[in-house]
Amino acid sequence: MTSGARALIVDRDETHARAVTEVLARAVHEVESVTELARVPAGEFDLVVASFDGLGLEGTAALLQRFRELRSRGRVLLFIGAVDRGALAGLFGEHGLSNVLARSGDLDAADLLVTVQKILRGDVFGIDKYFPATARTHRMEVRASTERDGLLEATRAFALAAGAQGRFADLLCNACDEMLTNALYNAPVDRDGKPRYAHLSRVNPVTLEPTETVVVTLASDGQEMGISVVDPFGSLKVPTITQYLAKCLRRGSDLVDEKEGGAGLGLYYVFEAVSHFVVNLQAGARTEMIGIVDVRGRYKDFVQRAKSFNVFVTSSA
Amino acid sequence: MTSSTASQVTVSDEGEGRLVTVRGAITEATDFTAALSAGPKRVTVELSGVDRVNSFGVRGWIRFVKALSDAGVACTLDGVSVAMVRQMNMIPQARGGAAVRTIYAPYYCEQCDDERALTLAAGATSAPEQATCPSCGGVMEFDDVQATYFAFLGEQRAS
Repeated sequence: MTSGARALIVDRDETHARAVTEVLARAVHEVESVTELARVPAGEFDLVVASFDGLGLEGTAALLQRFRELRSRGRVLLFIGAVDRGALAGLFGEHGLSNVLARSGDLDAADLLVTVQKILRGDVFGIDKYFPATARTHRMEVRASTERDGLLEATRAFALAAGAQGRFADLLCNACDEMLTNALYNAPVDRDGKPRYAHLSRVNPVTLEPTETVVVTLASDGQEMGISVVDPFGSLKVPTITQYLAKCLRRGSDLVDEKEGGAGLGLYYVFEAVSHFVVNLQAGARTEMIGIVDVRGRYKDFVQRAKSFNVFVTSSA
Repeated sequence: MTSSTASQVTVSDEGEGRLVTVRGAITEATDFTAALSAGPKRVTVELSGVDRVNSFGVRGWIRFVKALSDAGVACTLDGVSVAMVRQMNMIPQARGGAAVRTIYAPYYCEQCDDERALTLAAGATSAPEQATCPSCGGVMEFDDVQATYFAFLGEQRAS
């Protein structure tokens, strides 16, 4: 439990709010719950957990209107159901939301607890937080773009060996491809923080310095498959993530970048390939991208489920 | 449905028409140059062998479709694979101004755990919910959401 931490739940659905309260009570000192925005008590909170769905249409509009105010009173974690991509674009782009948990079916208590603990504590890195200790894992290291094809093959083999359907294995490979490209081309910066390879066409091979290694970890517990890609640069910034995602989710004429270097679609491709997209940032030190694919049921179930998206920033190693 | 890491673009001309066949993964390494050489009035792009597209590959693909359009070449997509359908639903510009003839649809057989992509009749805008499993003779089910899977057919946007 985080000593003295105070959390507020804003949720019209009292059953859901009770379930959230039970989980939050394991992580914070004090939990208050209200069903209407108008009843939000005075004072600041370490965390505000609001439900996009449970508030209804009027409540949602009001929530968005009061979003900045809520953010000024505490870090906001939002539960969302199957909202359209345009609404997500607004949440990420206009409101700068960077913590969203999918609300589909029963509350995923483990996911909520991990998310809350990561928001409140500085300990954010590691795919192991999302999997039980018994999960199957595979760790690989990469320093050159020429190693990418081999890593993709290994990722696909891992997914299939874990019993995933072919299309789920494809999703994990898609996420792996984009994360690796980000780690090898976009992330590397020089001592002044200037990008080293971002301007290059991705046809040009790049190799990191001997002291620089990108670490890829795959995990599976039969219910979910995950991939983590950690780069040793920590150059990615929160607004970059939310703005790029918002631009892509709007699906406008500016969707595809024509500049030299990347197409500006990588984060969007990861988001679309996974059930839960997590980015952990430690400025100047490392960035970790985690993609988790819910492989329960069939592919059509994956398509219909809401997605989770979370960015965590820490200053501690 | 298997996945590859390399792509192959082959071109064959016949009269005023050209057949471009794309196989494998469309990535930054995929080269459409040969398919853009001057000559044809019509191009048919056969896509049944495309099993993966990454974010750089889709940009190259969009440029290819746009170049055909800019040159006044009528482009028809044939045998659009499941991976390509996903791209066109994610990136509206990926279809560009191309016409679509046939599409593959994903099916799953719970009985024998088989996954298949089955080709639909030309012009189809939905998929049968069930099909016969070629492996075990059981019932395969369409493994996607009709409204979203076929959404790209109603969404045509110049790249």
